[in-house]
Amino acid sequence: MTLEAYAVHKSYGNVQALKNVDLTVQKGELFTLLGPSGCGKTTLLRIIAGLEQADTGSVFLNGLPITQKPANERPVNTVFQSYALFPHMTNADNVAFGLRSQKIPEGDIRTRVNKILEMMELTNFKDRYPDQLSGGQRQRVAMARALVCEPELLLLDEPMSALDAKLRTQLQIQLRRLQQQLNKTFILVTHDQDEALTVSDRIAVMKDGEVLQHGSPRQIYDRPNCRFVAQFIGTANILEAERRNDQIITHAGRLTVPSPPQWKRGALVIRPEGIVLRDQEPETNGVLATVTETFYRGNFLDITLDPAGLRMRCAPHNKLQVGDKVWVELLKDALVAIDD
Amino acid sequence: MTNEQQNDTRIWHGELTTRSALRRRGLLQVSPGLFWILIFLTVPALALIALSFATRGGYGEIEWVFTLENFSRLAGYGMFGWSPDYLIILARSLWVAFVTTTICTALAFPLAFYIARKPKTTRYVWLTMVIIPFWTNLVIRTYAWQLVLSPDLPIAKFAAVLGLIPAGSPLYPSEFAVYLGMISAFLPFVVLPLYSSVEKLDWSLVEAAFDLYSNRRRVFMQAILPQTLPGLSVGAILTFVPAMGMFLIPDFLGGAKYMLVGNLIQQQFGKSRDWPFGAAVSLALMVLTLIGLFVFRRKGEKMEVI
Repeated sequence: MTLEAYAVHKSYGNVQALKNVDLTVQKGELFTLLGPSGCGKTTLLRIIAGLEQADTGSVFLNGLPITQKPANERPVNTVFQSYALFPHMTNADNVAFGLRSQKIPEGDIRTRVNKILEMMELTNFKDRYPDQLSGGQRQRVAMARALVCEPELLLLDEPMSALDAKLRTQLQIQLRRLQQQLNKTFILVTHDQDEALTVSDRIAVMKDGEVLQHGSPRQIYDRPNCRFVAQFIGTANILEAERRNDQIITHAGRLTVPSPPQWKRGALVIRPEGIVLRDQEPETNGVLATVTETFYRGNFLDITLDPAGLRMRCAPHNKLQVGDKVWVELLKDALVAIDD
Repeated sequence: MTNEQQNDTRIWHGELTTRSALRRRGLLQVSPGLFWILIFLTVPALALIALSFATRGGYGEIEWVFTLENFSRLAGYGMFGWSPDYLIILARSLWVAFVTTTICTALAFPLAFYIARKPKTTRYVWLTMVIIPFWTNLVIRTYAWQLVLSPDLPIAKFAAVLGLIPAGSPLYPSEFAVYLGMISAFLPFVVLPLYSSVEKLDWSLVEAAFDLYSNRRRVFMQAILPQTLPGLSVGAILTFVPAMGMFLIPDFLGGAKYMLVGNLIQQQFGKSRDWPFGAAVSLALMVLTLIGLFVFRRKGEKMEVI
């Protein structure tokens, strides 16, 4: 089931929530819309769900236009941020809700509800009310309620935001497994970059109503195409740079990159893992640096270096002290040129 | 531990104290309220019950002779055999209160939603407009309806053109006028509590229902109604109870032929000077109202578990 959205535009008064966004999601993919609050990711999700109308643009599901269809006629279900469980119904009745709306025979409903409750490990809670469940259990009921309808496409609007950090990591892995087991198309909205990297097949990074970059988690992390993406996801060293022929001059010195950029002035991005300690001056991209700060983080050591305030990460057994002079190499393949 | 020991155990409740001391103080604190209810509710109610079994004297005085005659008269057994007049009045009152409540609710729903979806700044203007009629006495408002429905004004003229009433006659006294008066008097009582429920409405439930293939009717019944039920029941009770006993509006707009139980009671305590019979009718009204509330509550409870 592919989802395609073309030139989707949406304004609220003077605020442009979405600026001509294009999007393609492939069948069986877990696609994540990632961005800070107010970037338009939830608006886009709601337009796909049919809960909001786009001003212009169109949405196609499996090649069929669904732009004009109301939410209750789209084979798409949503897991809401607040879960939106009906408080006056038991969990089993909540899960059965979508099937009852479709007037499916009560016998079939019971079978399907029981099956999904078992799969989500909710059988013991079926006769309780949502108020009697914990946050994680409620989230599972919300997932079950949407999945029991066997939607072509499942939309998840920040499903983890109400849960604590430990539980969240656990549920992210479960979400990924569930999606692969069902082999269904999921679209996830989140502002949590860790979550996006962990669960997604592909990510679209959004800002101010635009998609800045889309690609696999690896592409997004290793090859950010702009300053915002580099900084929003993980930690990034950004070096202001100037190109002279094939050499790039930065605050950290002369650096070489795999393919020289087109610009005269721009920036280079390097992740902390792209900087490595060397015993002596390396052949390329070596920088003699002074340790200005160290942070012991248990399983690794975070170090800040002068020049350029470079941040790097090394094994925790390194006994580096503030003031030590070290050779580091900025790995050539880890350097990414960006033009803004 | 026995109950008494438990009562004397020192506990922390903002200060070191015992349960029995807390209970004593609690009783002291509610005593003014209890006293008020005793004097102004329990005693009159008991007096009313006693009165309904007393006999009317020759000059309208009360004779404390026990009789069931007031109730048999209410049931229709009079000097000239059985007549259903009083029962019709009771049934009609129940019906008018029911219809008024239903129409008020039906009108209040869209209005409450309309106001709740307005921006916060203009919402209070609308709410004030709903409340404004309260600033005028009900008697004056009801007289105003007489003016509005008078033969010289467009409404009556229009009705005459349609052939509903003879030309040159007013639209009152009539059943229509009574309903008009009742609904206009009670509408705010439904709108305000309903509005407070609608304002707190969790719209994500509405969206969830819609997302889960519900049609409009199902969205309303399953996602909106259960959430607005608290406001709705308060509004319905605030309308139904006073509408059952209303005598002013049917008196002004309904005329002698359209008597409600409120008018009957007023008549017994006033012109007819038959207090024992009036007390019996009042008691019947009270019982009917309680039955109505009970039925309503049962219905409401059932709705909550749909």
